[in-house]
Amino acid sequence: MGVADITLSQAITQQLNQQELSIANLEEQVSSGRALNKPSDNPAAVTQVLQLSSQASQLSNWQANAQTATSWLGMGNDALNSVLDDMQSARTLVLQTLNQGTQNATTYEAAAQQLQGINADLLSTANTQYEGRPIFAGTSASSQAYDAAGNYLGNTDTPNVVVGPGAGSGQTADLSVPGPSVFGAGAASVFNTLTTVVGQLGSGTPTATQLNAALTALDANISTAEQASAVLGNGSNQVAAVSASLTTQLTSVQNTQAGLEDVNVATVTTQLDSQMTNYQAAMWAASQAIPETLVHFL
Amino acid sequence: MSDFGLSIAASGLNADTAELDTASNNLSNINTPGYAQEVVNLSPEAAAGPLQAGRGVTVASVSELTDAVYESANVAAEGVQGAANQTNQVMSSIEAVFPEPSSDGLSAQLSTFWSDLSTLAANPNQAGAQQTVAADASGLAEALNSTSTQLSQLSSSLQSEVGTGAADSGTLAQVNQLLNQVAQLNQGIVAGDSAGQNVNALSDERRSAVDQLAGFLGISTSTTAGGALTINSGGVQLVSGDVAQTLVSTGSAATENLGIATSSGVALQPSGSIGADLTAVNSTLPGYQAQLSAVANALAGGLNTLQANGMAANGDPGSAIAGGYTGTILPNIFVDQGSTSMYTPSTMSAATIAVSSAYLADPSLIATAAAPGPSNSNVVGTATLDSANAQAMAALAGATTGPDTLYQSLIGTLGTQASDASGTSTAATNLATTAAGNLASISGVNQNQQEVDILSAQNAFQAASQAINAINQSFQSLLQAV
Repeated sequence: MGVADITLSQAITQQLNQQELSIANLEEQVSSGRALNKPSDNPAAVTQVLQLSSQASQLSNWQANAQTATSWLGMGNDALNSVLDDMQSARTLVLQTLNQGTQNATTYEAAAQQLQGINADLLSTANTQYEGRPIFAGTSASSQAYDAAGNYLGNTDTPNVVVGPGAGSGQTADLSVPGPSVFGAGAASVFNTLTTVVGQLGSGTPTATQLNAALTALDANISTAEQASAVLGNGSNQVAAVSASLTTQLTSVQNTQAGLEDVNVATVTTQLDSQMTNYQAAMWAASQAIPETLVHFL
Repeated sequence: MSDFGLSIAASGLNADTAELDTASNNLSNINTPGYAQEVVNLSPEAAAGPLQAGRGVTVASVSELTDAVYESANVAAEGVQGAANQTNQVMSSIEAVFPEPSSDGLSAQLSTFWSDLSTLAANPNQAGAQQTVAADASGLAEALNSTSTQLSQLSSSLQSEVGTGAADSGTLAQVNQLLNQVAQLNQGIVAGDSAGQNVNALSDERRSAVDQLAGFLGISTSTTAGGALTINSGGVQLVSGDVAQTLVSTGSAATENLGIATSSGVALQPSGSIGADLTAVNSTLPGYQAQLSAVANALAGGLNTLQANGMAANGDPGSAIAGGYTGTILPNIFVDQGSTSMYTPSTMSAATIAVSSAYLADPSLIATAAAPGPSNSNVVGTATLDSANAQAMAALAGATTGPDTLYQSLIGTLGTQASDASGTSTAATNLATTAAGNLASISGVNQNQQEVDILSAQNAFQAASQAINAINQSFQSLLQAV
């Protein structure tokens, strides 16, 4: 009983094949830079990578939404600042008129014109648009939030975007506030207040009662706008916090994914190196073993 | 005897020649599949009388060196190896259909689609965002179709690899030919043996045929007293004496019931590579088709339900909330290929999922807004930029029974099965190599050993020649003396 020559050659062939397979596998890893090239390379890691990349994609979507929210809210905050300035100027003007006592019609006319200018400025701010969409029109499809007469054309729903996981479609961030929450609703709106006082001044004989009523109304309008400003400011802060947290999460998910998916070049090249040495040793052994038989020494 | 021992020396020459012939034959067949090394069995000729020398040597037989236990272990290992290697090949082919993880797999396509919907939710009436969602929905449906088609093609190519059993290029045709060959060799061996002929070459040939059959079918063998080999596979006797069964395929890959039966209709459950093909065609591939269809069903079901229960940015309602609305009613997003309106979940729906032509023609017909309700001021028929419904569509990305989760679990199953198959294949190959090595340690030809045998036969031949020479000279001296 001995080793049959066919066994020897088959064993050598099989061993060399197996070594070639693992060299090919390592070579693929090095050249592609990826440790996972097919599901069977590491089934658990591949499933995890798919989950992580789908998670990363969701985080990026939320991140993009948070940026949209930041732009909307930034625009809203700027608008609110200008609205509050305008309202304060209007209030100062009405107060001055009241304090100056009875004036002639020309003076009233001048004040009326100034207030009309402020009203126009407020209307234009109220129709501020983000990418063609009025930011104070709620979720309405109307192309303007207010018409020239100061009538509200939007609805009272607040537009929002999803910025994170949560109940329903996820955690939402409001993009803006509907117009009435900034400018007052219906008869109490700042446009109505200003139109009324402009009319009274224009008549040339405004009464102290009328001017006092205008002051009270403007105070209410200012308070509404200040609340809206606070809401938008809070919104901005929250979105900034969410956005920072999303960035952290995204980085962590991408790092984990890269750790699973990317080749550790140092490890793999070392493995490849040692595999090549083994392969060469095996080939050398084969080259020694195959030709050597008794016949060479006869 | 009166030839002065010449016949004794001549019997030595005969025996040595037989040894040289046998060693030469062994060396010639060193790489012949199924060949078992042969040895010359010599026996001494007894002396004629008590005071005489023996009368030389006779060649009793030339027999093959084999071992029944090793042979049957080898046949069993060949069957296991045939099945494991074929399963491994099938799993590699299935893996090639699912290029994961990569940026062009279905997983990445799904992620892109959810991102499109998320963008649409932020800009519900933007034509570009609407167009992108429709185009990528279409791309997803096509990817699902093509993946399913590739699985079906793999299945039908495995069926044609097995073949019908008739004279085609299938493995079953080869099996039939081998079964016939074994039956004919059985006949030759039984006849030759009983006539006292050397049937070693026939049994070598039969062994080679049996090895191949083992890889194809997974068989068990037994030898009858007369020397015929009986072959069983999957509980059915395929060769008995000089009678071989003819195998045919039954059923089909398309109906997931491909089978093997004898021509008289007895079904068998083969193992080996054909058994692995049957398992792949009837169970493995349909399993992946069903999982892929579950992905398609979750995608279509999730989006169609939201579409039916929401309204488009222009106010057109989905079918579930349309009531008596007289304008356009939103079409389903996903439908069955060939249908304009219906989507029916089925185990083959990945093959037939399509985006409805009405939606493709007008990508603005997507329900971005929620149905009118207490939490909004939406009104059917009135345009709105509410995007609650588009947000819900985008949120399907993270749904626990959503298409992504189902697809990830498909890839997990596939990876595990493929990696198991590869491990099993390596183990089975090692097992088969060991079994073959065990058998070869008895039956295989060792060149050195044969060369030593040749040298010793050569020496013996020279010695016997010398004996003849000596006897001849003695005889001559005697003649001269007379």
